[in-house]
Amino acid sequence: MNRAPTASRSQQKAQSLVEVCSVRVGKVLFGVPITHILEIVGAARPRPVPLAPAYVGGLVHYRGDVLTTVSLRQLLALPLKEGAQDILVLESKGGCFGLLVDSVGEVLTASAADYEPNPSILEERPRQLLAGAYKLKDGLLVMLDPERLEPMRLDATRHDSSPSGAGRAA
Amino acid sequence: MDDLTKEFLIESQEGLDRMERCLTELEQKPQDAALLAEIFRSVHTIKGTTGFLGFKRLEKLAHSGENLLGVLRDGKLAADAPMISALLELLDSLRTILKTIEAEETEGTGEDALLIGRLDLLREPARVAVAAGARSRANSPREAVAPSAAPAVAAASEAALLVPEPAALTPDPPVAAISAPAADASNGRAPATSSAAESTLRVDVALLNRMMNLVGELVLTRNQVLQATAADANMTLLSRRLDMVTADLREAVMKARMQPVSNVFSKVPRMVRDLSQSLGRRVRLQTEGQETELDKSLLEAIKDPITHAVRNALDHGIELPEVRHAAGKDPEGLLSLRAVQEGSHVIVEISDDGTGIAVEKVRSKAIERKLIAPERATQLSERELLQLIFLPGFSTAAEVTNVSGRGVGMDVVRTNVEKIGGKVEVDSRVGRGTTLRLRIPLTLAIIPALIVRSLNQSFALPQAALSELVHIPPEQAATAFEWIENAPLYRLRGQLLPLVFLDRLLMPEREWRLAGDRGNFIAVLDADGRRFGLVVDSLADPEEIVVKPLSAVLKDIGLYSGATVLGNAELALILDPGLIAVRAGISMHNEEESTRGGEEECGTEAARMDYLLVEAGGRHAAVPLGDVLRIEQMPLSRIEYFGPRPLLNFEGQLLPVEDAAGILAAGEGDPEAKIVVVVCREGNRQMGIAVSHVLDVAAGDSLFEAGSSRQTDGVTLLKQRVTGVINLGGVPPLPALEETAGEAQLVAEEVG
Repeated sequence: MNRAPTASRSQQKAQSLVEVCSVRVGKVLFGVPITHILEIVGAARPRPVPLAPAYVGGLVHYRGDVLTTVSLRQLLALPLKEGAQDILVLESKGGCFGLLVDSVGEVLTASAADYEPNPSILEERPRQLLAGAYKLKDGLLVMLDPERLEPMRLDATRHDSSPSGAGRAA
Repeated sequence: MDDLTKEFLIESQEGLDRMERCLTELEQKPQDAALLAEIFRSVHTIKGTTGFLGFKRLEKLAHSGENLLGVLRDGKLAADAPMISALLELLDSLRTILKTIEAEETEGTGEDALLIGRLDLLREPARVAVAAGARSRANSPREAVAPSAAPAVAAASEAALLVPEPAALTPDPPVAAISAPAADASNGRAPATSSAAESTLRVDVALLNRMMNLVGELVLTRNQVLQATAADANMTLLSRRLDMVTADLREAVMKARMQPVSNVFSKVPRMVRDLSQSLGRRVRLQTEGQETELDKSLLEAIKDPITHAVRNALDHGIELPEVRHAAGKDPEGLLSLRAVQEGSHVIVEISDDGTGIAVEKVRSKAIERKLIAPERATQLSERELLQLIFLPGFSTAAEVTNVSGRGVGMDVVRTNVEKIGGKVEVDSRVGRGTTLRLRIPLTLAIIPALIVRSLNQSFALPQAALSELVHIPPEQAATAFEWIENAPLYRLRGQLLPLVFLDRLLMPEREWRLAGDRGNFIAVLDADGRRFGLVVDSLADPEEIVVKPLSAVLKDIGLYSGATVLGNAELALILDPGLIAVRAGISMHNEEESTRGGEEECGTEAARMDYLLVEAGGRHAAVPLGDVLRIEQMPLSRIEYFGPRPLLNFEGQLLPVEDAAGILAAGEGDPEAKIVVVVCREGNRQMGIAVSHVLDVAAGDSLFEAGSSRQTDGVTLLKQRVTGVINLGGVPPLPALEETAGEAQLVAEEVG
């Protein structure tokens, strides 16, 4: 994927551009604004925490600290993946946490003009986690809101409804 | 907030802390010029700095305080109680404003006119009083006669005298005039404090925490490097150096986090003063060991418990002066704070010489509140009864505190101290006073822990809570665990120990599965007065672990107190024994504690003692447990000989090794041979006893010779067998003390 598709559009050069880190979970391409990302940790094997809420993907060792991770697969009700996964270390008000994804892709530049908010038909759970999408040439880049993925926040908004937003977004 | 303001806030806080200390001291020694100068400087510095930072309210207040202090310092007026009260009030107001500045970057809108008026009023009589009083100073009469001329006479650096009018009338003193004397003042004290100022540096605690984390990281990396390079001879030297440097660095960083307990103790004098005034007590405060150091975070954590304990001592402990007088005591009560380091712990004692706690009342209250069954209450020793005041629920009702003399929120004290891995106990004698003892680990960041495994994961158990380990071999698993309905129990030395299976606790839906191929281990834990056994699959080596905090979501699970990275780079969760006990429903006053108490009681007729049961050369023998310092297993080659006497170089000291059963000789010639040495103490001496195995710890009964009531010496009834007690006094000292290298004699003999 090259950086050009949105940026080169002649319409309004000054139009606000957003840099988004793309991550893949299952078949879907998700995006996280790079301003929230502290670091990307590759091929990590989180240590499970017995009795933790299901969305907790385990603990990883990160720069002398023990980082709680959130499993995006679990949140999206996808089958859990065995073996190493990539981690986005995200900064939020409540401190740092890790987001477990299948793999981290490149940084894309998206134009605000291509943004669409969450569709109204989206179910409750995915609606809480997702923050609209950018229309890219070859598909949708579904945005994640790091603030809403924060473990404490997830704890407060936990629901048992099975989300299916991932399939629709593809 | 800009750096200048931040710096100002920190400095002022410190200045005020110093001032508080000095003020309470000043009350005892109203004439102490050094104290007055110190207080004056604190206020003066605040005033000087506020001038150019533009904090008007603060400046006015400080200014009027400084005026009063100037008069005091010049000896024109003596510091009496109302004056000190007013100055303390000034201190509090200054603090409040500083806090507001810190939070909102403005001074807030409080009204200080009243306090300023009071301070000025206190200063007023100065001119009148001094004329009559003509204090010690030679030049004071002159100043008193011509007060308006005084400023010119006095040193120009005294801002207080430059502006003798009430502060309220000088809304905006010129900045230059203020800052110049400020500079003078700092120059003036430079000789005294410069050395400390130049060799110390203010460091943000967050930065220290970060350094601690990074050092932990480095330790981990080092461990991995050591493992990876173990085979490579070329790297050995390098990795050994890395190892050493890392260890030193870790120690240095830990040291940087240490602070003297005086940081907490210094708050007490003021509190004692205020409380004793409002309660009508007369109290003398005595502190000891102020320089003892403790990790910063721990110091923060014991602040509240200490405050609580001091308040209790004054409120319920120390009696009113009349009462004390009537009881033949010094009308002035004594409150003493003491800190001392003992090994890896710091002991903080808060003791008073007040009424003490009436044990009988504690007993009846505990029964009344249904905290303990009546039959058990009668079995408990006085000491055990006293500890009941820490039970939650004991202190909730007001009348309890009146009756017991103590107890307001003692459970809170205990909870706070135990949260940081400490212990708290109380000693009291009616009419003589009460001592509260807090036992605090030196540092929170690194704790010794036993690594256990369950569910194929590693968990860390803090050693502080661990009392012993029991191995259940696979063939015994079926019989070793006993059940009452579905409650698993283990018979530990004849007493039933409630069990918690860690795997079942962590995965409640899991099938019962007893004993792997290597059996199970029971870690016997003592947590918050709850005693239980935690069953795990296997044990790994104990490690000094670096505690890392967990995110709130995981803390809320209510089982883990943190996480850590093990030497093999594996992450381990740290189990909290107290929380496990609560979750598993282990009760606070369990059978074992009380029956044990009961045994002690009835055992008094035939004095029972705990013995270490050992096997030496096929015979059982006993060593009084109180005399045992350590049990060491070591290669036989570590034993050296001086003439015929076997010796052991033990931690830099020479121990004679007693080998009555010829174990050392039996192992000779086998390079792999290992022996067990029980290190004992006898009076001031220490010695080692070579044994084949250590069998158990058991209570032994004294025996009486048939037909007489004479207690036999040297034998005891252990587990229904008559067992010889090793006579430590019979081990001959080393030749340095006594020329004859006495032949080893058999002192341990099984009689029955």
